[in-house]
Amino acid sequence: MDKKRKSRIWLIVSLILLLLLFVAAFGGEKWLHHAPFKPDMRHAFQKPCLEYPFGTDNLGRCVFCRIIKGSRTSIFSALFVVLIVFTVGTLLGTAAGFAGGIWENIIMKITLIFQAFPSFILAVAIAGILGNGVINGVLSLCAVYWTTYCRLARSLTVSLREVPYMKAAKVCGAGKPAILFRYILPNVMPSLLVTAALDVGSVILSMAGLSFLGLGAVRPTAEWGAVMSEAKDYLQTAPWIIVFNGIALFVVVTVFNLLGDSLRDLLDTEAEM
Amino acid sequence: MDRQGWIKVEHLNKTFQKQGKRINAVCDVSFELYPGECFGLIGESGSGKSTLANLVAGLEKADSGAVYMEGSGGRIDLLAKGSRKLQKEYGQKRQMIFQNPRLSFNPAMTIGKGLEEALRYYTKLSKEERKKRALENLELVGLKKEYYDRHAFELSGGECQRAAIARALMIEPEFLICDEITSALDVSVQAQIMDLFVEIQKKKKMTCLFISHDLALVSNICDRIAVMYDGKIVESGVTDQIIHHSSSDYTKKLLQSVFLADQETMTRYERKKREKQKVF
Repeated sequence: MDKKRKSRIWLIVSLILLLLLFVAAFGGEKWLHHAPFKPDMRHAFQKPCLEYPFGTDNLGRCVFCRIIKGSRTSIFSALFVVLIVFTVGTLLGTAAGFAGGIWENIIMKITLIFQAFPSFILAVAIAGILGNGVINGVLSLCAVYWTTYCRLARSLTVSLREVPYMKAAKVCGAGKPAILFRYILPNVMPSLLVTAALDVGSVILSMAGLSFLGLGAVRPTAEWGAVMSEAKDYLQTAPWIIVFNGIALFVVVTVFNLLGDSLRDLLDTEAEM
Repeated sequence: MDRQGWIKVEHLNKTFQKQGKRINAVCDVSFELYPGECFGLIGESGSGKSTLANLVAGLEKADSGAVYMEGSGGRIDLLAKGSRKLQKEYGQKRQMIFQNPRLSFNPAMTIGKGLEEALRYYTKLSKEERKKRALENLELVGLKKEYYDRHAFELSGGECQRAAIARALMIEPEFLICDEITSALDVSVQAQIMDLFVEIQKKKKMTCLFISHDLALVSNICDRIAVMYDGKIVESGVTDQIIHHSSSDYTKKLLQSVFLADQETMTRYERKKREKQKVF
């Protein structure tokens, strides 16, 4: 099997898995037998059984239902973060690389300041200042992740400045906006998209990390990190709560990483051709 | 010669800073191009040919000097500030073909869309008209219509250069700058591309600045030649005069190296010359 076909198959597989995840996250609620937020103390700490496939938590809530409910928050907030940092980083980086001179210097120095701190520590600090909540968690992660896209977009743009087709574009009469939108952006986009697809997984983990520390989502939101933070107190008595939430996190991150990897492989094989 | 120059390059200078050193890429270069002629520019790698081509094409700014064109409203300085309108007028009249044909096409665009670019910016033709013109030009350079929807990376080097020629002809330019258009191609493809180029240049009666380091090639197709060395034009004149009665030591060395490298190249020139004489 040739490389290209193999990476195409993996891309299709990861897209199917992603579709299943989306169906579960955004449509799964309709088929749930139990209310994810309604406490039922009679069934607290139930082990996994037919009625409760992933068991119940300290308030008798179905862990499976809460995972399905929480997947929407976890996936949606991560996608939202990636969308924002992708847009802002790409626009600033491309503009810096294209404009050059003082603007390039200013924008790059700002990214250097942000990158001077360990990224998760910076996110924790910003979330700590802003206060807890999903939106503040999203904002703190946006403040950390945009620099990757900005630097990548800028370096890709700089590498395209001198390629012959830029000269050809100028000879054909293309102005600066046309060069930016028809020549630079379409050519820097594939690498940035691969980075974005690979970043979704790590953003989900970071978001869960913030919530675990009590800086992201708060009770009663069923966000996986927040649920795991709550479940750590019952690790000895009811390990299934943290284990199943951990598995959910692992599966979703793996699917997004698989998508990113297969996208990268596909683009690499096309570039080789 | 009482002919009036159409493009005049006067005292053009361009320097670069490289690793703290100042390099005179183009040093006090002056020449003129007459309407419909093919003017050859030869010299070794690093002699400043491509920089000069970029300056004349308006892709780079010169440190000093001027490039004049005889426009509809008289002589215009293409490098003068505030001459955007004039530069647009010039832009519509000149086109350029590059050394690496594959890299001269945007990989994110199909060949057809790449061909239509100049029409998009210089004319107000509709989408259908642009496509029609692109298909006509593909046919003109011997490429099938299917190539319209292909990308440059799907084409061979020769096919790409044909497409690049087709692109250069899209706005029907009066002035064509060819920067080493055959050096990235293998020998058999070089010959095909040159045959196509010469045929089109004669048919369209375009003025052409032909840059190459291949003396035999330039001597075959150009009416006049300028020899460049170290950023300066060391000698220029009619092809015959440069080949047989060169006054510059550098040109003599250059000719000698051609003789040593390939004895046949000059016989090729002589043969062509005899063929021409037979015709007239």
